[in-house]
Amino acid sequence: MNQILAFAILGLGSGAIAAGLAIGIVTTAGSTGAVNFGYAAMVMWAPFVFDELTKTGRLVLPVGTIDIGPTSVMTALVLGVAVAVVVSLATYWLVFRPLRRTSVLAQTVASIGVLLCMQAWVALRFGTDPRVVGNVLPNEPLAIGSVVVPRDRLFLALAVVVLGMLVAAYFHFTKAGLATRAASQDEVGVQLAGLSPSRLNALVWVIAGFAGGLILILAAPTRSLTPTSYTLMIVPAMAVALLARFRSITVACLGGLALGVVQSLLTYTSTQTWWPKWAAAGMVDAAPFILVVVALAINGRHLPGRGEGASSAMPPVSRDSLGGRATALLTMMFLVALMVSGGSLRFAVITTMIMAIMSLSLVVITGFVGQISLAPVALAGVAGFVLSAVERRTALRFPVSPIVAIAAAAAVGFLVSLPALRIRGTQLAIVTLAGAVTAEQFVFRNPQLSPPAGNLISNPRLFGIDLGIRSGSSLARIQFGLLVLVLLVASLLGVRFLIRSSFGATLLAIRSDERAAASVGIHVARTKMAAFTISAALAGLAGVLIGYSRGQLSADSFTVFAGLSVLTFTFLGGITSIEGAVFAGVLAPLGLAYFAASRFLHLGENYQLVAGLALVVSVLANPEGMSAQNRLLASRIKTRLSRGTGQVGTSDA
Amino acid sequence: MHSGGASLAVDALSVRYGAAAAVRGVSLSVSPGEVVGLLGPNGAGKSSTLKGIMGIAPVASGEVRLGTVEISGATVAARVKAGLGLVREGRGVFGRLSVAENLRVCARDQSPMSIDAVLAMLPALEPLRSRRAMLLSGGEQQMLSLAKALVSGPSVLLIDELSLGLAPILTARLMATVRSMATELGLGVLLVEQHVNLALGILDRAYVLRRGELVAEPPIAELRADPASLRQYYLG
Ligand SMILES: Nc1ncnc2c1ncn2[C@@H]1O[C@H](COP(=O)(O)OP(=O)(O)OP(=O)(O)O)[C@@H](O)[C@H]1O
Ligand SMILES: [Mg+2]
Repeated sequence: MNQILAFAILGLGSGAIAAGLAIGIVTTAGSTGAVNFGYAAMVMWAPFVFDELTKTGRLVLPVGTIDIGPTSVMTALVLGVAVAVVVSLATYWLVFRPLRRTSVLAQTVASIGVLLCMQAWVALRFGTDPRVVGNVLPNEPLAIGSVVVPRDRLFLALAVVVLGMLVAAYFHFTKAGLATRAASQDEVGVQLAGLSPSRLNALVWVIAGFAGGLILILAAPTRSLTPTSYTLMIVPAMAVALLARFRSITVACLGGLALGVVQSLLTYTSTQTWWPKWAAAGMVDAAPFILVVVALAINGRHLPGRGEGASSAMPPVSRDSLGGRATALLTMMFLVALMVSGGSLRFAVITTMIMAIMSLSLVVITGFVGQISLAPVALAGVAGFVLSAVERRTALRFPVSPIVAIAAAAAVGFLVSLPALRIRGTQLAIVTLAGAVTAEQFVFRNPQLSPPAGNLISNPRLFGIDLGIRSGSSLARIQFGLLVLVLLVASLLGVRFLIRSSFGATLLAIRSDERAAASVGIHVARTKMAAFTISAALAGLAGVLIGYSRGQLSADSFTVFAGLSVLTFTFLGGITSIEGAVFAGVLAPLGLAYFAASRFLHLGENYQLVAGLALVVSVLANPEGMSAQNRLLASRIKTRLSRGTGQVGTSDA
Repeated sequence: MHSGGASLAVDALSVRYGAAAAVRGVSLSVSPGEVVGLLGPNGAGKSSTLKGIMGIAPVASGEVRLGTVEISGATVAARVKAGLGLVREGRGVFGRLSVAENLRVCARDQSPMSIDAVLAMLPALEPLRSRRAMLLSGGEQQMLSLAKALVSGPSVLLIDELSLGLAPILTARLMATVRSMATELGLGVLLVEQHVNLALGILDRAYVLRRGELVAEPPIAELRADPASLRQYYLG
């Protein structure tokens, strides 16, 4: 009993983080049309600045460093929080305020750009080694019967409750807070009251920066500090904010604490002998996902944003993009690229093609149907792991085993489509983000589900021909490249056929107005489920090919960050067009642009920072996505090539 | 209201939505204590004129002055601070806030009209102070909408369709309130009204707008004698 109580108290640590961040999310939710996925990454500047300052006396700012010598804990706390506040305010003013009238998709994508940027930027300034942060709150041990727990957890819970009460008081009892709530529904009305909505919103971003920064500093001693782990704290926080309908500070506060306690108790129960071994790892990360599903079941009908589709201002879909001649040209270019290249360059060409298939999955679901999904990479992972399991446990080999794997991904995609029928916009992004975390931690990284020798995958073989990527000293065999090229071309043509068919017309009708589509007799649910399944199958294909291209499957290929970056690059490539997927493949990590950037510009390490910045800038410059520009570029390349000068560069794809 | 009670002068105002001009070269004025009607058929550009004056519709050209202050380029908030107020078409209330909170958001320290003073003029709102605005009846929301504009302390108030969806008796009562505020406090009012016969009783002057242009300034006495005569201006 005492032990359970002790675990519950320990859980208040991560609970306070989830609660504090959820309070911050709720605070700014009214100021933009979409929620900010980059929030945790944004305010994690605070604990890093604090830690560096207390340990070395150096004030490391986003730009520049000031050596101020030995610093008291209080001064470090104030400076750390101040940096988070400034970063938060700057992010609002430079990114979200200019985007406030754009589509949910544009804002969501921009917030993912912020996430990637901040994570890479913090890593650049502070390194990625785990840090153990010193205590601000009193931390003498507290004995509960025979069990001893650190006392700071209780102070943390108290701090977050007080913080929640202050923020709630701001919104209910001050004129500015009341006006901010009013402005989230009626901006003009607030202007007519002689107030500036922008200034009111700037103020709530200051509050959010303060709340998040403060809680992260106070809670940092409870878990080791790394840019990746703190960035991902957005997931439980988002789950709690969803439960709070992005409105109730009370629910955000208490829900966050409760989630932490539940997670901690799960950790406790998973050490019990009766608990199934396969479910021992990753249970903690699955809890937010379960909470998201529960939250949607409870108040899916009342969530804001329902009914106003993500597609409110989506760019038009070009139904005759990438015609026969263009596809032939593209095929030729890839073919030549495969033949003239070798070694790591050829590997980049192959990766480009695989990632183009992955992006195609997103073009279908986000570009054509208007659903913001972060699931494709996780679905690809499912296919990869199923492939490995099938080959390990059965005699099935290529081409049957990958087909089974792709079917499995499609089946999971179908399951994902069921909740997606009720929700849209940011909510699906939250579900799929939490789902991707769960898949990564619970499945891909679960030691019980992977053999100790690793998830080996044998080379594909057809009619006695080895189509594998490796054999002997050759690391990027052209046979595999040709296999991928064939599958890429088939996928491109398949999606083109899809969007030009009557099914494609149905998809676009749903995207532009679901209710109108339903009223003219379109079966919305069935169509959406079909689109999700097709998209998942494409992701599964990409996952299988990733597996073959590595020879062994590792969870690192299917992380949450990989999922975020696929959305990033697909948006940059042009999410509403088929050729956009090809551009996305070129841009993707380990693709051709990445190869060039790391080889010639030595950008390898900073690729994510540059990509994140590029994403934010491109959304700002062109909230409808880059497809229009890229289409222009594509047609220019086309005309130049057809003039016969025939300069087919390998990186020109 | 605003000290001295400045007058509103609009000169050659044009409002354009994309290529379509909704208002073309409208010039009008409202003096302190005056209730001026802006009449016209549906789609004539009445709302657009008020929004243009207020700065919430895209103004292509023209000047707006309040007293001696030129406010054409000013932000909406700055115009409000200069002493301009707008009661929007439809019910412009903050649904999630209570009546008292609605008024608190709109009240300004510089305003000579306190929340209590405004509630004294619209006594029906007094017992509803703590009710959420979205739960008010249509008429109550309309009153709140008027009250919100008043607590910001305008010297010139633009009112768009005060009667929308209200019972004639209630409209008449609100009209009387507007009239007495103009007379007693020197408030200038520019009133857009569909139900002309309800408004005629309180108007000092009127402009008729048709297809975005001012076409007439009919004498009020003539309209009162024969309200149907207005139709000739509408039809042109
Ligand atoms: N936001 C807008 N975008 C484009 N056109 C608009 C917009 N608002 C109004 N219009 C057009 O401008 C013209 C004038 O509209 P306005 O609302 O000013 O008319 P009104 O005189 O107030 O009509 P009513 O008596 O029906 O309220 C109309 O043709 C209308 O369609
Ligand atoms: Mg109107």
